[in-house]
Amino acid sequence: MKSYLTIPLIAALFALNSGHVKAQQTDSLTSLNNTFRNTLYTSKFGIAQVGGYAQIDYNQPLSPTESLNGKLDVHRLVLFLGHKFSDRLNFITEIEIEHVKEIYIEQAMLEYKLTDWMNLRAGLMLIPMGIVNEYHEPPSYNGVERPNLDKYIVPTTWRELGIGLAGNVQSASLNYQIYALNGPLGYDGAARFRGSDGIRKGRQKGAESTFSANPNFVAKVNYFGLLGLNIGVSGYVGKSQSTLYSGLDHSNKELLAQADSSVVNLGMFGLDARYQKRGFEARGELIYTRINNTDQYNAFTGSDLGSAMFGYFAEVGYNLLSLTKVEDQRLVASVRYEKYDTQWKVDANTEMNNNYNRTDITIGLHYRPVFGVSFKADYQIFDNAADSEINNQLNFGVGVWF
Amino acid sequence: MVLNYILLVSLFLNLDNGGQSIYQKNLKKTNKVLSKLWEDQSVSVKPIEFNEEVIKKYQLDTPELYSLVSGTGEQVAYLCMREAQSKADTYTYLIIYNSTLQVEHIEVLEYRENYGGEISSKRFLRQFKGSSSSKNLVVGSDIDGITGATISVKSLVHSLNNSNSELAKLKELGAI
Repeated sequence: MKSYLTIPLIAALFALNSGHVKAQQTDSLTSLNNTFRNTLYTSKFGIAQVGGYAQIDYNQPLSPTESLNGKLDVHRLVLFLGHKFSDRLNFITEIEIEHVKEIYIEQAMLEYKLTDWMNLRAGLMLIPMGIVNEYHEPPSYNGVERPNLDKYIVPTTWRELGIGLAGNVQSASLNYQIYALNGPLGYDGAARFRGSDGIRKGRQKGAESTFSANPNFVAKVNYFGLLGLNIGVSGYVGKSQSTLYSGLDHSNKELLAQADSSVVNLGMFGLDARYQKRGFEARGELIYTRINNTDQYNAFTGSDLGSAMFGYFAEVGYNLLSLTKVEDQRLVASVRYEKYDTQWKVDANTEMNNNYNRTDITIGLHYRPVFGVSFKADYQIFDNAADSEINNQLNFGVGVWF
Repeated sequence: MVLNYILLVSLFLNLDNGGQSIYQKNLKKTNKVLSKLWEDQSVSVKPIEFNEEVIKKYQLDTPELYSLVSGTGEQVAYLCMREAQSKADTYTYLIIYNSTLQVEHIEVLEYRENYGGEISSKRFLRQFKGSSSSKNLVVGSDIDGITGATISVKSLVHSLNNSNSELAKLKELGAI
C-alpha cells in the first residue's frame, strides 16, 4: 500500500521542485522504466520482455495555387515482445500496426549465442543496409518522416526470412551481420518492381513468401573504434523471386526463358556514417544498387525498372539546449539534404523518367523532453529533375520508444 | 527516495543472478582484466567486509564490491561488479576504483545482444576515468554518446552514477 502512495507523492514533489531535483527525477524514472521493460513476467521458461515504438504524423502539403488536404495518421505502432529462454537463447518479435488497420510482423527471430562474439539468428530479420532500415525508431532520427532514400532505394522496413550470424567483436571495435535470406518478389503474374520506387513493392515481409531461386546474401560491418563515430559498410547480392518457376517443366525451354525474364539480379552497396560530439551530430548514407537483366524484365512485364539506382543523404544537427544549462533534454535543429534517383541508369529500351531523379531538403526541429519521447516539426522541399516545380510540405509528429 | 529505486533495481538484479555472484559468474574474464591491468604483480580479490552495524543503521544497499589486495597485503583498489540494461537484455561490466573512489577503469565483460554493443569500445569507456561522486555525469556534456547505442550509453552512465554515489555514501558513513 505504502509503495502505491509513494509514487504519486514523489511525482508531486518533483513537480514542485523543478530545480535541483530534476536530475534525480530522470534517474528514478529510468530505473523504473528499465525494471518494467526488462521483466513482464518471469516463468520457469525464462523472462518475457516488452517494449515498443510509435510514430504519429500530421503531413500538410503546401501549394501557392491550390488547396491541398493534409493527412493525420497513426503511421505505425510497434509492439516489441521478447522472451529470454536462457542466457543463450532469445526470441525477439516486433508486431507492427501500420495506419491503424494493417498488421505486419517486423521481426520474428530466434537468436542463439554460440560464443561471446557470434550469435546464430533464424527467422524474419531486418536487412542490414544503411542506417534507417535497422535504426528506425522515431526518437533515433531527426525529421518527422524517415529519409526518402530509405524508402525508395532501401525499401525500409525491409525484412525477409532467413538465417545467419551476427555479433560484436569487442577487441576490434566491430559488429557484423551476415545472412542468407529470401529475395524480393519481382513477378507474381505482373511486375512488382518499377521505376518509381525500385524493389519496394517486391518486399515479401515473411508473409507466405515465394522462394524460387537460391538464397540472397547480405552482410554488414560497423566499425566504432573512434569516439563518437560509427561507420558501416553493407553489401547485398542475389536474385529476385518469381512465381513463374512453380510447376515449370525443365524441358520447356520457352517457358524457362520466360521465367528467367521475370527475374532480375540485384547488387546493392551501402556506406554510412554517424557522428556525434557534444551538441553536434551528423549522419550520412550512400546507397548504390545495380540491377541486371532489366532489359528482359521490362520487355517481358512492361515495367520501367531502372538498371541502377543511386542516392545519398547528408544531415547535420545541433542540440540547441547544449548551449544552456538544461542537461537531460534535447532540442535538435537539423538540415538534411537527400538526392536519390531510382532510374540512375536505364537499359537501352527503357525511357528514363526524370521525375524519379529527386532532391529533398528537410529542415526540422526535434525536441526530446526525455529519451524515448519525440516532438518533431519540419519543413520539406521536394524537387525533381523533370521540371522546375517544387513541392513543399509541413510535417508535425509525435514519436515514442520504450 | 532515489535510494528506494536503487534498492528495487538491485533486488531484481540479485534475483536474476540465480544465487551466484556476478564475479563468480564472470571469474575468468574478470581475472583476465585484472592481470592485464596489474601485469605481473599479483592482486587478489577479497570480498569487502561491510560494517554491518552501519549498513543496518542507515539501511544501506550493499553493492557487489571487492577489495583488490597486493602481494604485500596492501589494498590497492576496489572492484565493483555490475549489471545494467541494454535495449532488450542486460550486460555485465566491472569498475575499478582507486582508494579515493575515483574510477580507474571500466570494462564491459559480457554484452549479450547485438544492439548497442558499441559501449564496450575502449575509446568510449576511457571517458569515465577519473569520475567520482563529486559530479553526476551527463551524456552529451560530460560523456560523448554513441549513435545507435543510446539506450546502453544512457544505462551505463546511469548505473555508473549510482555506483559512484553508493560507494561514496558507504565510505562517508564508515560502512567500508
